[in-house]
Amino acid sequence: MSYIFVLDTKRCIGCGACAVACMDQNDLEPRQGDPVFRRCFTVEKGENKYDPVTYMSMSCMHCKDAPCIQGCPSGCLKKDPETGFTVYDNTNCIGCHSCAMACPFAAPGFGREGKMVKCDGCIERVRQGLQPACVKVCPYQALSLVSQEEFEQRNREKKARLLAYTALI
Amino acid sequence: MKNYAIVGFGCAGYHAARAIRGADPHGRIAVFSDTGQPPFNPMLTTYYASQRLSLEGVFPFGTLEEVERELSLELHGDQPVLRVDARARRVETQAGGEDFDAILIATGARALVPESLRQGGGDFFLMRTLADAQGLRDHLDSHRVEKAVVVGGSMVGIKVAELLHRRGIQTTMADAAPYLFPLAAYRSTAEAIEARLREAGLKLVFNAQVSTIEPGGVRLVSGELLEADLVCLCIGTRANVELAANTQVVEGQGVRIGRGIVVDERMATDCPGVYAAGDCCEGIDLQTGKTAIIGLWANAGAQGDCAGRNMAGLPARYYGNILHNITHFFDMDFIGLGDPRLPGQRHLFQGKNYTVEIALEGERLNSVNIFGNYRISGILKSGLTKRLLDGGARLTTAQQGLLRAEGMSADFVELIGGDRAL
Amino acid sequence: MNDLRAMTKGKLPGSETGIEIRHTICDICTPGPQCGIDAYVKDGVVIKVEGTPGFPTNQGALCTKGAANRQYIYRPDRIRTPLRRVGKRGEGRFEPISWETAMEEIARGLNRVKETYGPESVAFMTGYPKWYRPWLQRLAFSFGSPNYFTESSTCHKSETMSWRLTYGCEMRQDILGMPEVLVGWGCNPLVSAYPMGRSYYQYKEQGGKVVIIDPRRTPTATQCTDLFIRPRTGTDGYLANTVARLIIENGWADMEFIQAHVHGFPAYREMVMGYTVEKAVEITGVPEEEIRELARLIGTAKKAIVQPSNGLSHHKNGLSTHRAVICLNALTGNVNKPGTLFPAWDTAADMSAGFRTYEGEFATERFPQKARPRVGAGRFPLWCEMFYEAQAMDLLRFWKAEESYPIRAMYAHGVNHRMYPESSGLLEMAGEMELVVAADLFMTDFCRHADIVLPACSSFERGEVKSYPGGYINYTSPAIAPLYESRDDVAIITMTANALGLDDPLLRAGYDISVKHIYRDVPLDLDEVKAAGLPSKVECGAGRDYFAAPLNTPTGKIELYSERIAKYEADYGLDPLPVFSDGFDCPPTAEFPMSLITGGRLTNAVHSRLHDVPWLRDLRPEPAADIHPEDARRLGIAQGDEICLVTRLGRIRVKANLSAISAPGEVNFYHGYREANVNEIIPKEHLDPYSGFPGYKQLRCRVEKAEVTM
Repeated sequence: MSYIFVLDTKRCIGCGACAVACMDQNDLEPRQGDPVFRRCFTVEKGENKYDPVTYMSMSCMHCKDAPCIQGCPSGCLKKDPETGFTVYDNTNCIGCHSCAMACPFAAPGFGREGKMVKCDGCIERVRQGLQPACVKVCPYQALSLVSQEEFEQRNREKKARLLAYTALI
Repeated sequence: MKNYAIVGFGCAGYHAARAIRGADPHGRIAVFSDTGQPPFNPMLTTYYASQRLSLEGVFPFGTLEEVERELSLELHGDQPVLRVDARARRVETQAGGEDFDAILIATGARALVPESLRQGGGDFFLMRTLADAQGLRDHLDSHRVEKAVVVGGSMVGIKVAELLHRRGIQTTMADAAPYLFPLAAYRSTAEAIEARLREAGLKLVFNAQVSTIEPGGVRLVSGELLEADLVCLCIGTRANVELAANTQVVEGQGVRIGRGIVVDERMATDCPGVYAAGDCCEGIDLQTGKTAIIGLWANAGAQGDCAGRNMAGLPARYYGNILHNITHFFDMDFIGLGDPRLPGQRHLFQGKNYTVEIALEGERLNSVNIFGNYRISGILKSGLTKRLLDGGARLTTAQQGLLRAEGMSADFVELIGGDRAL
Repeated sequence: MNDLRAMTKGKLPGSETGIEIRHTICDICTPGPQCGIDAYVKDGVVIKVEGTPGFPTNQGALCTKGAANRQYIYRPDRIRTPLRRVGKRGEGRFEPISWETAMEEIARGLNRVKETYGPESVAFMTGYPKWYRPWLQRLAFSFGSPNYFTESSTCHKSETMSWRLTYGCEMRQDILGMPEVLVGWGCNPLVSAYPMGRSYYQYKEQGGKVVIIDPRRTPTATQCTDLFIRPRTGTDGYLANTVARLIIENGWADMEFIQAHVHGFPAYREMVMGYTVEKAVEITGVPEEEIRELARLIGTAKKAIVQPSNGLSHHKNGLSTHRAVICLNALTGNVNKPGTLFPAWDTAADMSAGFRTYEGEFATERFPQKARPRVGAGRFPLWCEMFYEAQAMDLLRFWKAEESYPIRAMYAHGVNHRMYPESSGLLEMAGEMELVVAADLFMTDFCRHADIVLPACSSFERGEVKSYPGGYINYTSPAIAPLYESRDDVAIITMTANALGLDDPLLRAGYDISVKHIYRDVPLDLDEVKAAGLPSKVECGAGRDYFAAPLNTPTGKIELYSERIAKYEADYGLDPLPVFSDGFDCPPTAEFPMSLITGGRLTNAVHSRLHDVPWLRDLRPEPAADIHPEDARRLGIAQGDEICLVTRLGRIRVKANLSAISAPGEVNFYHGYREANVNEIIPKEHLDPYSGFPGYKQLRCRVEKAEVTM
């Protein structure tokens, strides 16, 4: 089963709960030099009362054709056949940041040891039938992890406001 | 059952083999390689030489046996290919010749060594192959080196300089260009990097045309001698095109070759059934629309993948790429996107730990230099590439927000193709 | 990576990994949702938190703050042992002492003050959290002091007053009963109360229509709103009364309901007839068509809810404004039917769970009737009539006033001086006490001014009884042992009661005994509830009908004209009708041309308590004021610039966040920052005369680009 992270931007308020849950799950301490895997932000386009405001939460999109995989000179990244997540083993990571240059969503970060780290979709949890930490915590169910089939179904039904990415480049 | 030949087994060759196997589970894939090693990444030489990477680590796709098993390949590891007969689609080795349905030439590139430099009688190291890396590593382990000169302010050169410097060797980097990374960096960015390098203790010499390498060091055209007990030559690479050059499309007419083997969007040469991918070929440079060598690991992978699909009969296109580079050295990041020699109005953005400079020609973003802040580079690269493929393409709201989250200003985001935001 | 390593890294619970899930609750934004937490514990240490699935309030989710519980409870500045001051007050030099020594010194000090000056001279004070309040209140009263101060002097109690004055009790909104329109007046539940925020989304998804009225463009205003009305800050009272007039004029008032259940309609009608749409446009800045649309929506809906917010009461004209807003429900007969308002009978800890406890009796039965009047009694009589509490906002005045008796000691749990306007006044006062005792989790600035500091523990380290809407009761067990030498607040209060030798066996018996006393009518065995580990259901029945008996107001009806306020009309100038008055601290001047709004909620903070939690602080690292781009342009301010917010009391330096959160002319800033404490520049006399609440949300101010010092 292949999964896709979906963000319903109408339900997101950019609160950061997902980002905190991610740090809790992955023991990330940004002040000690860890990068964050997930970021929340607000984009205000225009200054009038009804001008659009978008709240978002972004992390690795686990692109179908993930450009980071080809970008890595050491072969650290790969697709997990079971979940479709873009997973990694950074034993041979040389800290060259090539994956960062390949990623359209600024997902790869580099930790205290200079090696690449990023969202792994909470793959161990998902394998056990649990939700990723960010999805589990979301107070408004704005973030979800859906199967490829469900995603296509939702798209066919044109359920509004769905947002998911597959990298174009 | 189709018969495929892959000549040369690096990044492009591996990805082609994988793409073929993905599309054609039963076809026969014959791989010709004379290195006797699994696909190797030349970018990792300096990491191996500096002992930051193990021997297994330089082979990103595993051992030859693993790759052979994974993709069901037929390996011809000890037979250099002598000739490719294009009309017959025939690969000739000393053992004889064999016909194929499709042939990929993925012979890569080699370190450039102008003959004239050898005239001085001095030894020098190169940094392209595993043997090069092993050689430097062994030498450093067994010899006392006090002074070293790296010829060539290239992306490899800087990493060699770094590894020597980190061993406490007094290191000089010399380049004929007026500043560092002239093919990727603006002068302003280069000078900022140079200042940091000098601060770190590296000696830099520019406009330094090398005459010869002598036993005592590097002799410049100006007559000056840069003393060294160790010299490493890192002035660039040359595509391995000889095999293609021997290939005739029709009697008396060769495969088109520039600096590399010229290919189209399907990675096809102008000889039907013969493809080329990776560092040996010239793909399309999106910014100029012309073909050019873009000698990058990821580019080789994408080209190999595209070639493989086409060889197996799938309609794949690789629309090309832009010049782009990321180099992490001395705890710094330099990222160059697009051709810095293209014209454009420069805009400089500075933050606490980074500078980003861009060149805009009208509304068109022509190039970007990032010093620090590696994390935004992928968004900019994807934005730049997308706009070249589709002039109207904008950064997505998510990308705009991510750039802001990484400290970039609203003005910057708007300039490079975002919306006006607060 | 082998499987076990991967599973351990993935923090999967189970016997292989040795990770156990233990249920507890979050006590960060007390006492609101008190969400259920699944603490992942390995070797006695919490390694991860998650929301408890199916928990009555959070249903498995958590908010930003709750998700950071692990960093919160393990903050390195947790107080580790009881401490005795060795340096000067505020200097922060302490020496560890034993609990026994601490208790001896506390008892000796408090009893000495009691003997010398009388029990009223000891102030019993609390900030956050709130779970131990009934015990602290009883401690104060058993000691003989009526001077029990809580943070509720600035938080929710003005709203409680407004509801009780008007409806006899607090009313809850039956949003999922699907009114035709839901007017969230000043409400931003998506940020400030996410379980309610979820109800908003649910209501919207079922076809509901939401109107948000707020001077700030909040996430609620942008994400689930059909109509967003943006009045100038503090003008809501005028808007509400104008809407009331339009409803009456158009014949939309529910006269039958008013006849049956409402007191004071003629006077109210006469009052609102003095409000005009033209003047409303001028005062509130809301376009005429929006005012008329709002009146039409509320007036013509078969069922409507006008939901007020706490924020409405945080103005100098707050209580009247709040009353003006909630009067609209009674005016349109939107009371006591599905999809409108229902009474919210208090169960315990400000929660309405559908069953009764004796928490109120436990907390107040020892009130010292013969003691000298409480702080605030002379100035805020309405407050003192309605609560067994002193009004903390009168404390600093009282302390200096000539006619007062002396306050000589403070016994404080979780006190945060930054809650007080002109905050440093409280530290100054602490500096002159004979004894200051402070129990807290962290070494706060107030603690640094104490003589004895006591380490309290978090909700993860104690057991606690809570009731929840829907008829639930929960009794947690500690998920981990108390860190260092910390103890839970009620244990500390119990020790203090024993050390003082108070004649109060129930209080001295400790938490478990007293909580069973409080919940004695609940038909469940608390020990079994505790053993269950998760909320148990209490059979509640249908509950008492709102109109079954006379309401708890002087007339027994809903009072648009408050007879209770009328008692103070002559002497205190309080108006029994919800009239609009100007809520600014001073007249407009060229020097202070803008309005300052403070006290709004951030997703990553609650008051001052989470600014030192790195995960949360890093989501929004700098204290930043929201300023409209139009004002920013005029003042030459760019995003991230250093700016000064200046009131007539002084200035604080913050960062500029250019955002349409603020309307032009208004600047919004968040409270509780140590390095930029906005309450320091809010005058301590800028108080609502009805409730004593500070006018946090409406001050004259000026914004300046700060001079950059290198």
